[in-house]
Amino acid sequence: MGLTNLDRLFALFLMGFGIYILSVGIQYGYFRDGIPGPGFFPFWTGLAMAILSAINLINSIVGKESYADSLDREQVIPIVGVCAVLAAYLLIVPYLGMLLPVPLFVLGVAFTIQRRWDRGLTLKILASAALLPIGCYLVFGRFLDVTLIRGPFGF
Amino acid sequence: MTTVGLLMDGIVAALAFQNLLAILIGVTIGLSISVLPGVGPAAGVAILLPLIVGFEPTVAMAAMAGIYYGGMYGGAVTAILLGIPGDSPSVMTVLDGHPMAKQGRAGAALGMNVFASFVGGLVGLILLTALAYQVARAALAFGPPEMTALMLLALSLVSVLGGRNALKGYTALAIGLWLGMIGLDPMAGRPRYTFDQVRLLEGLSFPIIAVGLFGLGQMFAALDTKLTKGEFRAKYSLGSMFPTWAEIVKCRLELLRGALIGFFVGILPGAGATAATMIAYATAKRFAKNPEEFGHGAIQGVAAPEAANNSASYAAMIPLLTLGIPGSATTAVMMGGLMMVGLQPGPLLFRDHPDFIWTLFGTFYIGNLVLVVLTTLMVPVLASIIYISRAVLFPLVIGVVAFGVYSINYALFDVWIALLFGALGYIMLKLDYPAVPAVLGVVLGPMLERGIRRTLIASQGDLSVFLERPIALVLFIGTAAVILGPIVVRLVRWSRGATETKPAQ
Repeated sequence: MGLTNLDRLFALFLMGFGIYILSVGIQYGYFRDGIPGPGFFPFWTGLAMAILSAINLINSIVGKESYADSLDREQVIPIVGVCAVLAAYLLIVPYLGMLLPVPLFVLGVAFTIQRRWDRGLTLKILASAALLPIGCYLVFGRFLDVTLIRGPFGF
Repeated sequence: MTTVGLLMDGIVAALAFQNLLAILIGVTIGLSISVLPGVGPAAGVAILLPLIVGFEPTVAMAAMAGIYYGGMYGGAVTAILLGIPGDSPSVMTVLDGHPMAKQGRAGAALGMNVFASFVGGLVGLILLTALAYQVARAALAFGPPEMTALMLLALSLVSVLGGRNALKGYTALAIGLWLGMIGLDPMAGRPRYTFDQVRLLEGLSFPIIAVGLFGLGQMFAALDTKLTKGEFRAKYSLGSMFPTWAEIVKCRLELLRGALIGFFVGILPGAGATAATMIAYATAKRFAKNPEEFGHGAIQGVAAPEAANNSASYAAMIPLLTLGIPGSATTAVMMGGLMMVGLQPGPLLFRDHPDFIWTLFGTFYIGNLVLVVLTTLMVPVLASIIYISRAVLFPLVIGVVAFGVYSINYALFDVWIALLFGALGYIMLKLDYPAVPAVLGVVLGPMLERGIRRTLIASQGDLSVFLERPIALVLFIGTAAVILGPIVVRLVRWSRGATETKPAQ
């Protein structure tokens, strides 16, 4: 997708969202008994967001704001992949605990960022996959005394 | 007690083991992060935020400040050796630093970078020490109208100066202001924009937003950039990294001018260290005897911007600590960190917690000295960090971030929110929506809303109360000038263009 199209979509989304903030703000109460209510600040913020986004959208449509670049697949795949691996990790945590799935998380993120591993890189990634859960346990679980979510094996 | 006496006490207190350890850890992280393109000190401080929740305030602040100043020192190392600026304030250093390295003078360039950073830092620190207390004392007289006006001025300056497109800056600010509203209304207690989620009643934690927008967002953006190993290998030795007396004398005016420019530009919200380095470099070239040497390996071209960016980073502490108004991304994240450890930046901080302030200043002086030694020793490491495979580095950093965010409230929900803001931060970065106004909106929005509503409640809805006090009036005029100035200039240009084309037709 071209960045210009993404820019327009984002501006359109923000314009709609600004209108939503504004309308909900009015429901909260703009002024009550002559003094500003809970909706006073949301009203102005939503209004500003909607107007500014409309101007941004118009600027983009008339060509005042354009981008030569585009988001190609090579750029987007690692980012979406990292997000997906982190999301998968977060979904697994309630069942396996926080520490056990960490090596899988490391391998998943590493593979998403770089597909081809030579021997040296493989060793480094495997070492970090093994050491990260230990490091996190020592720093967060012991040193900072954070109650980590435990898995079926008690860690 | 005099300022010097208070500072000496502060330096002695800063020498406590835990403070020294915090400085050492902070500057090491700062130096390491500074060489990774796209991942600046704001991301470094943001990533550290979840870890510092349980720390004592001085220790927490010393670590955060260490990252900030470490970032300023280290960014130039890769700029000189590899021609790749680690962060935006190091861009100007590439212009002369890298040609110097190519001419076989990498040691001299690195040495001048460290020396200029030290001098700039020292000048910035002396001015910070001299001015901060006076500014805080003057600010004690500020009531809600003045603080409201000051916040509006700071927010408008940051939105206009913080990015390429001021309209997008204001839009980002509106996003931040909305994020700051989520949760219970501070005055009426009514839930706002919580989407029926009980977890959102207390609002979004600032560090989670900061970690997402700056930490994860910048890391996602860094995945975009590809680094190739260059053919050029700079040669330097430890001995060659000590600037000669002749070089210091040659650069004395650039050092002093750069430090002073850095300080006074750095104090302005939104202008920041990058603008300071550009002005310092341009001024150095303008007043140089041989301006044609600039861009081809002039050592003054390294001295001026490096003195400026370090001085600017200390100057940025003045609005943060004395007024509670951060002017840059890093200081905004630091303000969030201060609030997390139970301190509210602003004039009352100087009155109620003088020990904290002077110990903090003490850690700054020690940190400035530690950075000279550490940067010099770590140059080979810093030059190689940039080539550590991201497939190794990023899983580790993202893993620690996830654990850190969870540890704030012991909630996986927060990690989801951070991930969401990471994606938002990446999109904003790609589309030139600056993240700084958004983060400032989150920090200052609730305070601004309280200020406006309290003032209006006291005046029974009469808006003229904001204009009755002279300081507030001046600040409001300043805000109007910042917002309307560019529009007026554009209208004048447009009308001139119209009148010039008429006779031609």
